[in-house]
Amino acid sequence: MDILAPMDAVGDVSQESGPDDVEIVSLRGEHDLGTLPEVRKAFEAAAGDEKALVIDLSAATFVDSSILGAVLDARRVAGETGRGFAVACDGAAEPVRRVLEVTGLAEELPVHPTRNAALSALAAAPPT
Amino acid sequence: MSAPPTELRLALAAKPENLALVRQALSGLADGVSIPERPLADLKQIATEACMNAVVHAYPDRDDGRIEVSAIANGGEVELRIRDWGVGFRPRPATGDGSLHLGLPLIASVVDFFAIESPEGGGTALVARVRTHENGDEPAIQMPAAPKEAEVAIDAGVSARPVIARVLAMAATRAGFSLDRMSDGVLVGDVIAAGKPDDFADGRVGIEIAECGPNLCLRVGPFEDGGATRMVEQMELPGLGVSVAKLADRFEVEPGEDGDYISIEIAPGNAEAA
Repeated sequence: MDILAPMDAVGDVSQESGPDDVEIVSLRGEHDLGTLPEVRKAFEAAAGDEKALVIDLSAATFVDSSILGAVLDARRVAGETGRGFAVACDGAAEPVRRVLEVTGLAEELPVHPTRNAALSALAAAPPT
Repeated sequence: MSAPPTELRLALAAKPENLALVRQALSGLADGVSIPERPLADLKQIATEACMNAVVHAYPDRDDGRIEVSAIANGGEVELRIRDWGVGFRPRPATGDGSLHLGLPLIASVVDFFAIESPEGGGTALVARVRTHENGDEPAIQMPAAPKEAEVAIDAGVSARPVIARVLAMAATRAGFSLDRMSDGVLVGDVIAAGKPDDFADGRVGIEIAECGPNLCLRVGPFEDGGATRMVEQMELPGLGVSVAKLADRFEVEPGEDGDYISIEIAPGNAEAA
């Protein structure tokens, strides 16, 4: 067993500014009710910048329904304030890909296979 | 030939931060009995959603609630049981709390069998079965659990090491241990897992894990009569003493109500070699 696996499993959240007035919030590791406050805080901070938002789940290895709820709330807020919204998820982590599939959110959300693809999609179709 | 069933139980405080511990225990189980990635992902999702329901809804007016998670693998299938002793399962009106109310539908969408029970003694039990192997001739597993900070019990044998190592590593990570000390904790777990089934009561390795101040406190047992002392003797290296005791800040055999226990305390910083 890789003893570092549990350390990798501990979820963390980071926020950075992307090109063209886009804020990127990245989730790494496992996220559930235990990390939900941190995740919501990051989404809210990004919303406060009045920029488009990309949520990057490519390095997330697990998300539960509470995190999906936060993602949907972030999309709702972005829509209400006329900001762009996209999700990046390369599907590398089986639990993340699986939960997006079985909940139907893989089709409901604007999910792109890479961060660059999400940024390109926002640049190509800016919100009105 | 089918491997014999293995049983593992986790007993946990109903706290959000314990959900990750449940997933690590399931990963350890998967390491031990070769559960493929897809069914493991489903087992983690089920356990997390069910435990989250218990954390959020079962104990609305208490902060001392507990959850028990058990997993039993048998015949290419794992049965998960997540039990609480809270207010019981009941329909809840939409509250506008932002919840997706996706937990139960999500569970139902990935299982082969799913039931909600109102067990004797109160609370709610969710039972789910997931097929892990198609030919039904695969190793069988069982996991159980109980509450302090966490209690893990698993049949002594090949499945014990990965489960104990992952749970201890997660607990050490959560307690802010350095890599060196986390490795020491895993080594201690390895030695415990290597114990003989005859030494443990019911042939099952039991460990209670608690954060005591900045340290991790482990209580291993109960052991059959003399089993704790035998295990310590097995750890002793000629001229070097008890190797594992040197990794720990406290290491002693003490009597319990149902047998002897080994109490171990590990500090997050460097221990003074004994």
